[in-house]
Amino acid sequence: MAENASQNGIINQLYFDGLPYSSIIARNKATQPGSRPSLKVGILRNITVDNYLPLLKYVLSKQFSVELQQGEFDVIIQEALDPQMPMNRFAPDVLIVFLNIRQIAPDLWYRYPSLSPGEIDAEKASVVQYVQNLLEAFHRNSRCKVIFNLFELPPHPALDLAEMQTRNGQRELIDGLNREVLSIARQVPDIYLADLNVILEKLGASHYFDKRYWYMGKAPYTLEALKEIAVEHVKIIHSLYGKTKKCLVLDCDNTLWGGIIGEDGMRNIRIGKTFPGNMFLDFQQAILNLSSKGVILAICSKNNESDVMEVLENHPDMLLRKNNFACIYANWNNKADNIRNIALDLNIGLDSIVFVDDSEFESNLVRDQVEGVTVITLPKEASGYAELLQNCGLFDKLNYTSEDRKRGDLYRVNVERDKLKTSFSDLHSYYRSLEMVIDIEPVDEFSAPRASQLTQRTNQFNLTTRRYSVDDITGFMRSPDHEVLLLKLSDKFGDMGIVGLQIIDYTEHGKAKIDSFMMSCRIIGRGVENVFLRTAVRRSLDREAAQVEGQFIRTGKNALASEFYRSNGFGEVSGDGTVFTYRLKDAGQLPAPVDYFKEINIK
Amino acid sequence: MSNDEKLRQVMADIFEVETADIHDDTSEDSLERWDSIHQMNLVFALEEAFGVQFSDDEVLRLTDVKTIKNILQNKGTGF
Repeated sequence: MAENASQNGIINQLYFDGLPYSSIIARNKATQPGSRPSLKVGILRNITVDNYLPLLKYVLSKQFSVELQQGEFDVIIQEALDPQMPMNRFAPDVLIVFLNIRQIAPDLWYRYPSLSPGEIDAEKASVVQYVQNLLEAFHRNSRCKVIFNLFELPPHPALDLAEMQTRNGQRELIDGLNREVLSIARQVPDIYLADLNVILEKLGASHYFDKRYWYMGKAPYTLEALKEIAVEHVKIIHSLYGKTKKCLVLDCDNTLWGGIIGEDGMRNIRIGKTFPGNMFLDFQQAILNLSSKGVILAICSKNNESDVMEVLENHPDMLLRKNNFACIYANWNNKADNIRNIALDLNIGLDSIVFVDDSEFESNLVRDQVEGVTVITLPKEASGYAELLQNCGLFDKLNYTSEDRKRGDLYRVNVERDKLKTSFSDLHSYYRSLEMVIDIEPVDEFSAPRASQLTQRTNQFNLTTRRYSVDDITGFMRSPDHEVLLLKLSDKFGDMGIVGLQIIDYTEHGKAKIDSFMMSCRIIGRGVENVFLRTAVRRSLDREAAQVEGQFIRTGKNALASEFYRSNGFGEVSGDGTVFTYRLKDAGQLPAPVDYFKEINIK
Repeated sequence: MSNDEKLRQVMADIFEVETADIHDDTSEDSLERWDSIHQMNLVFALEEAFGVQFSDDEVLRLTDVKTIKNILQNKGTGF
């Protein structure tokens, strides 16, 4: 099995645990429901994708208790439109649509050279119309999230050399169709596009399309392609449900640079613009790009700390510098303990961490000892490092915000702040020294992506753990019965941006229900969450709500927030072990405010 | 694991039976789940497990253990 993993690469190793297809099927049968959140996934298709189902199920089962249902062959529009169809009754959370261009517009794929320009336009218009009807029908009939696969570009375009000399090529046409789908998807909420052409290009047509089963049973894909396609969809689902990894922990020697700093010294380690240092430079650039997309970086290496600092601070060719890392554990302790400490320092779960090391011994130790951490063992050849990181997909997200670019700094500064804390004897004077400024304001179109992201990323200080897409958030924003409030925090170390969110539901007359309340956990413990709640409570009571109701829904991760309402003067009205409801009727029940904030601004 | 054991393990996993249920005379008629979809799973799994590729014609003939072994043998897998 290990031999298999190295042959079929990183996707097999990371997502399928290096298992062969038959074992994946066997493991699926043995999967117990457990305590993972449930997820219903429907698949609509006009091709045969039965072999894809076990692959999708296997990968999703690591995070979810999964139920899959496949629609009948080539019954897509009926499933979308008719509430009596089995797919509508199944009520999936996520619907994946395989609409193959060869099946809906065979002329465009097979007979292209014999079509007149008028016929081509008519075919194109009918495909666009079909997709538009379909996507709108999904939206009208269900609240589920739809993953729609873009059309594949023909590997052997019909007009051969002439494709590039004219404006009427087949590839250009299908590419144009995809762009139309893109603009439709932008208009319809909760449609997410998967570009299978990325996989087709990566594998090459001969490794992507399996011609035998296309002719025998309209099954277009090789096993290799099906694995990649399943992973592509899993990445989207992970991003939608806040399962994307947050932190990349890196080894140093033969990972960030070639050679061993303790033995080779500053002059001889390999990093720089020429071979072989350029392989490591490229890898560092790939790491830096992840950091710009919001991934937190940390170091966990067996070195003298002074050696590592010397490289980070003074080596002229390094791209990564000390400030790029939120925390640095360069010591001789075992890496399992160091990684646990990194999780504690950053206040993130172990299952948000990806650890990268060139040593098989170290990576196996971490894989074995630290449950939840994802481990990447680097290949023997450093020329593959950068691509491996770009290819792993563990950090891929559906949207990036301006907070993402700053996140690395925020976490680093937070660790510094924690160090300062230990020098103060009482917390209040420490908090006062931070000169914290709070801004509370309603969400707008610019902040909606960040608001959605908070609902998807926040696990620990999250009272109800409801995940919302950008479209959901803008829906609340426009609704007269809802209020979405954001909290921004800055202190003398810097601006942390939007770190808190709550959604208040006024649908029920005389009552304000706190649908969601969450704070980024890196700022928990400073009393900011209490200010946020009390502001909203006063606002609601002013809005003539006779009472404010809050819920705590227990998950495996949010124990931190379990006493939140009670500690803010709310009384418990019901609780069944999982869902607890709390109520407050009078602002006088709120505890006395604290006075260590420099400013609190409310819009 | 011998090639014979490997074959029986793959088939047991795909058809959800015990390895002891797979003999040389096992065929699509003797296993309840051996339909066209499971046949596709079997082809993928065998190709992956033995590092081979089957032709159009072979794919259609892989419907009993004896023939599967014959075809794999022709591709250099010893039983």
